[in-house]
Amino acid sequence: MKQRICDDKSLLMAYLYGECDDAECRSVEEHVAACADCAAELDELRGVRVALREWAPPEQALGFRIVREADPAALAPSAGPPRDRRTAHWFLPRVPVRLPAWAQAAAAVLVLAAGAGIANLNVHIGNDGVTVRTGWQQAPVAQGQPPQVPAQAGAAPWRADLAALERRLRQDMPAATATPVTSPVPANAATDRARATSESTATMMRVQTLLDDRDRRLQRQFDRQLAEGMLRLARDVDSQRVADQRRFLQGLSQIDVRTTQLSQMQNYMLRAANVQEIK
Amino acid sequence: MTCTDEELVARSARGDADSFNQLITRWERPIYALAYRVIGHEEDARDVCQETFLRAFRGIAAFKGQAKFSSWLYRIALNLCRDWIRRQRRTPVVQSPEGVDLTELASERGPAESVEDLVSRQDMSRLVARAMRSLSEEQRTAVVLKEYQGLTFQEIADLLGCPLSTVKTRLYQGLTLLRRQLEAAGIHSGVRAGDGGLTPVAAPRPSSDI
Repeated sequence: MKQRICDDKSLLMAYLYGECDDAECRSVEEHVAACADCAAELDELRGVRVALREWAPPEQALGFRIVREADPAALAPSAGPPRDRRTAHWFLPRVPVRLPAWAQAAAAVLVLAAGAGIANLNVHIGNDGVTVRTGWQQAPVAQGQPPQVPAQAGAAPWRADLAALERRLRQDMPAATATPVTSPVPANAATDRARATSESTATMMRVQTLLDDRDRRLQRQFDRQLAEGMLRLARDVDSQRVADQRRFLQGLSQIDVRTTQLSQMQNYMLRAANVQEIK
Repeated sequence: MTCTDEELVARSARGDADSFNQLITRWERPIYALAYRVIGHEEDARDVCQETFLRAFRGIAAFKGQAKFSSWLYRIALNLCRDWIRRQRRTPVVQSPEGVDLTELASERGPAESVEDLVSRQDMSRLVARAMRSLSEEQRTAVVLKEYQGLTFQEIADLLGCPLSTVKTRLYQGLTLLRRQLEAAGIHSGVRAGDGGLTPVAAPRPSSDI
């Protein structure tokens, strides 16, 4: 048995996890009492188990649910007992869906725009410093200059942002409400209310999924674009470096040629001077 | 009155989504924990968890109760984890925001800094997560199923479709590797029966002190 426990760790593992019978337990205990190596190993394995307890998965708001997609047939009063055919269903987190980054930014723009719109603020930055003026105060218009305030207000950047946001929301809303929201003829008012609630919940869940999916998609798209941009930049820098290097080498060779010519010219002049001197 | 899994499964098989939602509520945390510990990515583990229940719901009518519902769920989740790992075509990496490296951690520890300080600073959980990276997929799965999901050796063998002795060997190898990794980080894992905590080794000292 001794040799078996030292060589084959199956029994030791079974003992470690309390999955051996009494006879096996006794044999392991007798063995570790006599074998220092196995005793030490057992202690260490117990220690690893203690360490492993420290590893907790991150706290995630899960709350998955099966939600049946709005199905007019299923909602009809004659739907009767449960059907074998399961219609399409949604699997959604109950947790509040985080707003996508673009929506948060748009909301911030909206708040600022609304604030600016209410106050009719005109912020002017010039040589004379920063001037903040509300629209209710008439701006002094210099003679010969076109009135600038209305033009600035008309071309305010937040208006473009607002228009973009509106366009985006209009694009998204049809997709979000694509599921036909049916209003089945009520057999009785209570059933109708329950169905309506269920249907609206399903629709809300679906909208949340769409927003969630869109958020993920945008994030992935952004990551991909960022990576592509970085790659492009790296390629551009590299090609520019190669071109610069080539130009530099060309310049060096031209300097070399010119230096050779100058050297030849100098030798020629020295020789000419010597001839003159001899004469 | 709390219904058993079997009762809820039977009702779910007849199309009762509410019963299935009760099963989800009961099992989503263990399944998520399993997926996270096997593949090591929070968001992907969440996706795996969701897909597990979706597949289970679609296949619940075909589930005849030949195994425990939880075992069936584990099998689906593990298959999805395996698919995920194949898709990644690389060793699954446990997320470690600060990129803790055990050898770096051990080498950067100064004589004046105790291991207790080190552990509290770096978070023991991340150290263990990092150490789990060194395990093969089979070893990690065995450790996770045994240590965290609390399955018996026989259940793991049935789930993975391998002999009992293979499960024990994988687990032994996994624990031994983890012990080495933790020791490399200065965590001494020797615990006598009855002890409840880890015993960090003393900070490095001149050899004469040992």
